[in-house]
Amino acid sequence: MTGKLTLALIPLSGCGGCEVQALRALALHEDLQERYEIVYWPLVVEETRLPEKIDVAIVEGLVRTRENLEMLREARLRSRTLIALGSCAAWGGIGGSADSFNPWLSMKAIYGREKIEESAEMLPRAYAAADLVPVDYVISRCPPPVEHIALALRAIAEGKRVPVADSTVCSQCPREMKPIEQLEFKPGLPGPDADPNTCFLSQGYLCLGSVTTVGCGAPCPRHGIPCFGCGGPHLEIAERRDMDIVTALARKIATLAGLDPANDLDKVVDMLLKTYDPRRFYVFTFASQVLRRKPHGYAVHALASTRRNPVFVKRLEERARFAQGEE
Amino acid sequence: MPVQTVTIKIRVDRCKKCLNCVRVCTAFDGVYEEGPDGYPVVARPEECVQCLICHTVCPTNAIVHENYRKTMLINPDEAIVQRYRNMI
Repeated sequence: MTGKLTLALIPLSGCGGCEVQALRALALHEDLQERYEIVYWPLVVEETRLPEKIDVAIVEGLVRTRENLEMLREARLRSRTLIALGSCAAWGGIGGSADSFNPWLSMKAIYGREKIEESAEMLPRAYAAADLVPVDYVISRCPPPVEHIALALRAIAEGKRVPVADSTVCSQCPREMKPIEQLEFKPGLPGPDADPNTCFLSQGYLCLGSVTTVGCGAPCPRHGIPCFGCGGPHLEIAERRDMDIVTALARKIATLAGLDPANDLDKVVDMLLKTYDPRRFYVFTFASQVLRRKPHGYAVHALASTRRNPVFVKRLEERARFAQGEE
Repeated sequence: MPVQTVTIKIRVDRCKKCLNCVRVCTAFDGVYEEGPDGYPVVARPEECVQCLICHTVCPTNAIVHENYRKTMLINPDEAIVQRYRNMI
């Protein structure tokens, strides 16, 4: 026994950015290299089989194929601590938007056939890894900051609890929040005419900072881009059944505009959903079962409205006809 | 049961000075007031009816209620549990 903990990183269907961030965390923090021994990581070591017993396993990416699902279950069975790394493993991430379309229709549009014999078997929908198996820790964001990964790995090696912050992105944003005089929403992203020192919500643009969990340092609002919520919903929204991203945001906007957050909530929600596409609120959380189970079902509404969108359906059918004619 | 007074704290390191809490408070006079430096201050904590709507409208979760009412689940006595178990 060397006294080192064994570490395995299992990539599922993802872009690999979280793997690079984990590699950077290990490269930049030398004390972690002394504490962890990498036993399985396709990017780093030439080991093709998952070991029987792992101390810490990290999964990255989203569950899209049958192979992914089996790999995830093996990781849970063999590991003592399982970490879901990145927005895809935690909430579905950008890849969760694949759920907007029927996978067989997408296959037909791209390859001309519903199934290719030698390809991997696709699941009927995309899943976030944290929805399918119990995970011990979730390190969210896209990509997850190096400090978060290092902090979590160090705390696990020392046998401590990982500290959790319960604030939102707004607490790190330098923009000044002002009351809204006239409640109206401007579609699209803020242009050059937007005030760089005032909160986006006060100016009428949509920014998900007040419902997104803290930890990034608010780089996007600092540079004139509203928050898209890559960190996933705030702790309270994820835990409480009566809160959803849209309703929590509408409550805050209604109060800023001087309305009553309880009585005028429906009015503000209607205005929000009329101005913006429902998918805009669930860019990084589209495939998450946590948000699809909420009672108002705005996430399911977003899914259904995309699947029924005549423009998308027509384009997919045209592509399918084109792909079949090519063969 | 002794009546516990609620203590309200505002974490100034997180507060954005949006004064949502001042606007939304449902108590008769309002618990919060705008302080001299722009941050909200807890002026009348004895007015608080513990509706906690200020928590849901605060953009940064900066408000903390201490000694907030606790829900008690009433568990029957162990002997009664035993009695009913024997009856079934």
